[in-house]
Amino acid sequence: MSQTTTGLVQLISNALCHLRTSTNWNADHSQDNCVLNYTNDKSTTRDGAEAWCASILNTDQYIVAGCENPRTFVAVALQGRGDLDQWVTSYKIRYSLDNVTWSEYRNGAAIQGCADRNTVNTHYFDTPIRARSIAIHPLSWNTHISLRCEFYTKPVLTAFTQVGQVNSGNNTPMLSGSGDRNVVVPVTFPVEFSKVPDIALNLQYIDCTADSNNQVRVKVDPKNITTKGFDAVFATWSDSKAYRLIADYSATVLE
Amino acid sequence: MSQSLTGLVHLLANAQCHLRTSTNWDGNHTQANAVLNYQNSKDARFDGSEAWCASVNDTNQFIIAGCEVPRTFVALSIQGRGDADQWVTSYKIRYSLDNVTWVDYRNGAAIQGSTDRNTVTTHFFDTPLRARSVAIHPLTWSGHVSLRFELYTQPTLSTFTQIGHVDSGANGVLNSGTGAREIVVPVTFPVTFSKVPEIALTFDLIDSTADESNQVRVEVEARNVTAKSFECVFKTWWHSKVYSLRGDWTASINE
Repeated sequence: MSQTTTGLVQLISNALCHLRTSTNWNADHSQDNCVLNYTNDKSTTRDGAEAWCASILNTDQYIVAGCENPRTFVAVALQGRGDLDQWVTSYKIRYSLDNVTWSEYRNGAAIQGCADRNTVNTHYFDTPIRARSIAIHPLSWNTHISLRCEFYTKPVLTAFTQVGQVNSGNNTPMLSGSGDRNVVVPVTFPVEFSKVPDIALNLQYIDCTADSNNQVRVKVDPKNITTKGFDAVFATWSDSKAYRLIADYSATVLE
Repeated sequence: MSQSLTGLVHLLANAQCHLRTSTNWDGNHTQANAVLNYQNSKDARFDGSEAWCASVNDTNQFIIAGCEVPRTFVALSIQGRGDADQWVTSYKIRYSLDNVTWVDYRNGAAIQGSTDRNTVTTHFFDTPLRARSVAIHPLTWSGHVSLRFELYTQPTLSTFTQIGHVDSGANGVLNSGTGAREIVVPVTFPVTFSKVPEIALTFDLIDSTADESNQVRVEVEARNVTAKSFECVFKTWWHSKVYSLRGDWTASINE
């Protein structure tokens, strides 16, 4: 299967993660400058390194990217420092889903890094990693531990759900007569949704009478669904009757 | 009840929160160095303080940790500055769940802080705080308003939910014969879950015939549930008959 970062979310570029480093050379060499292809104003030395640069050169250095919601990490890209000959030649990856237990990707084996300032080296994880926090641990380097990077994840959908109950009431048109008979009960969501939700609306209470052929017929449908509410339509039909129906709804938006 | 940090999430260490400060002494004394036990290179070249250090020494200083996802904050640890004799001797805590209204923990009473550079002083909240943002407000200090800290929360679960609808069709095998009968309707989730979901599956339409003893028998069950799909199984049994059944499913994971 050919691998691509097309359609994936670039975490650092989109400001979607918090970054913490083991150490920084100083304030002008921090994680603020670590996004892939970060470039400063070449005409001055005032404004910071084209990389995150550690302060200590040993294998205890790392940069952690943390997201509060779980993500499916597909790939990581690594690049050298843009304004000096410094780059990380190999690294390992560690990650955590619950932020209590951390795991070693490939049991801590070294992944090939960079060999120059600007070539982007992308590593696709053997299988996508499900995690909230992920860390790059440089293992070997040319001159200094300096890097620019990016993490690529699948797009994330966030669910918002509201639940409630609807009662047909008793002594409704469903109680007598024949043919299609219904009761419309309007429902207003406690909080308006940001877009029209999907609704599961199902019976949790059925008090009904079968017809002369012993046929029980009851149903409930959501109609006229908007971001603010919907109509719960309780119904019976043919010769069946219903005394009271009560339904629960779950309404969810994914965005 | 003895109090322990075992199994709790270390927010700063895991890069799970954003940090904002009232002031920083300069770019080398920022919240980037605020995590508990932060150490610099110890070189003569100064690469940043072993603490967040405010720029102004008064009781208007603070450091806020913010999470987008609400958390249950169990405890806080505070520590002095590692590379100079500066520490916060008492502080108060403020917090917010909705990020509109802020609350004073213990009505703003002072909590005992640090008395040296490196001892970690841990405060367990009287009852865990439910919040998105938590702020430390130093009240008294030795040498300078400088601190390292950590916040400990219970692990957080994120929910992902999908909803759909399923129909047995009309006048199928459930509508004649006797004994256990079922109709299997395969369902594919619009989005594959990251793990096998829980499923709530219930009726929103029942059109059935009671048997000669007036017995109505209907059941719906989710079978062979995977991260991608499940089978919706509509059933009747004994002498009952069913013309049509319809249901809604809600599938959810927490991770």
